[in-house]
Amino acid sequence: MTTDSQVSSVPLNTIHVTPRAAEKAREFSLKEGREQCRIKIAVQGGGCSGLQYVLELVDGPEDSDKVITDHGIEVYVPKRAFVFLAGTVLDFSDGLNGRGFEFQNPNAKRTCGCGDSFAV
Amino acid sequence: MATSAIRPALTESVLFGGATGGYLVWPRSGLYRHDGPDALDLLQRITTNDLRSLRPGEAKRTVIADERGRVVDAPWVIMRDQDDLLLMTDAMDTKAVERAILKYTIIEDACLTSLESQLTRVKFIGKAVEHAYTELGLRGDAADFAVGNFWTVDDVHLLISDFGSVRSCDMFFPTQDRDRVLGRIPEDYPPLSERLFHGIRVALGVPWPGYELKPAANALEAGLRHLINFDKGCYVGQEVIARLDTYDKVQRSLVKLRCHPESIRQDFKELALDADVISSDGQKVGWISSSEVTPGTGEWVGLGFLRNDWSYEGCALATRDGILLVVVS
Repeated sequence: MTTDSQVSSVPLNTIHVTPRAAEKAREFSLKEGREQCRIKIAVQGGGCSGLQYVLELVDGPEDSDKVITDHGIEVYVPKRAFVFLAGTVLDFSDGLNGRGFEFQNPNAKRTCGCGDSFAV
Repeated sequence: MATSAIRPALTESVLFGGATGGYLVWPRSGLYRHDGPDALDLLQRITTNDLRSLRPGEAKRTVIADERGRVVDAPWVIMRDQDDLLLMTDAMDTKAVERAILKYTIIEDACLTSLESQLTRVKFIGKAVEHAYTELGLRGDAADFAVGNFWTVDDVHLLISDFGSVRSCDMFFPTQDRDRVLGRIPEDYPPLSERLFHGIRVALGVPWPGYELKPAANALEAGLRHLINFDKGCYVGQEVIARLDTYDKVQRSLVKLRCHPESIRQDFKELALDADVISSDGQKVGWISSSEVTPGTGEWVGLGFLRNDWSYEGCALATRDGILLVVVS
């Protein structure tokens, strides 16, 4: 479990992927036949609170993406979305009460009940 | 409260002073082009209605709410083609729609362009709608009159909208054609001033941006339930709107109020916008959101938001300066 102190210790010029989230991302990547794990993290309008997370496996970065490597996976973040995501920790929680991939975003002033959307 | 006077029914003839319809040239067209591969998906994610079923030539009205479920605007979304939409707002402050959409456009490939300077907008109400059909060479049969139908013929756009119990449509045409188009409207259909237009609107109980449709009320209080799809999933404000509905927590209702004629005549008072509405024991139970004289009857009628316990038909209330009111619907 990532703690609040872990979130606050992530520099604001990057995004951190926890070892557990990286491991799960690799698993999903292999299931789709992708040798290399590359994920895109972004933000789009929508969701109860106005902004919702986008997380998907991709083949490579687009021109305007910021590229981050953490725990062996490549993370691409569109520059227009990075302003909402700077300092975010991507974690994974499983088990009966687990919510799958979780974003711990220091920019989010409010999140909706399901945690999929937030407001800044 | 005694309300014994016999009132004429609000027929088109009464509302339009003996005519059967009228038209209003809008000071703003309120029309935007919203295009790009993500345009429809973005509106689906940030507004209350389910827009995925739209087909070219169709329009649907939806609500843009804020994160607290409060109304920003209720524009029409018109599909010209899959990636080519128009947005029509009735608001005088068209920037509210613009700001809301741009706020949520982050990685989306969608572009919002104001058509304000290019197009003039005329709203036809009542039987005058038929003239608009003639202008576009349409048959004007029952199927054509379905709310949400949209046509473009020779740079002229026509949208069938709803306006209480009266037919209405909005026509958009290039501003350079203004004199020619207006010159062809038969004299049977008089131009309406904004005041007269709002008089008809309030008499028909139609909520309007800037009056009822603003962040002072949530979408359910403002009578926009028919524009909310409760099965579509998340959109901005959905969590609050769903909770209000599920737990029956909507506190206020939008109602029509009629002034007691004597209390208006005594001091030449007018029913003021935003005036507090108070109960017989002096507590504030709501406020006036629109007030106008009804054309044809000369009665002051208002729309207002009242707490549910006071929003039943026949409830006698007052403003703080002594105008007596009764809830009529």
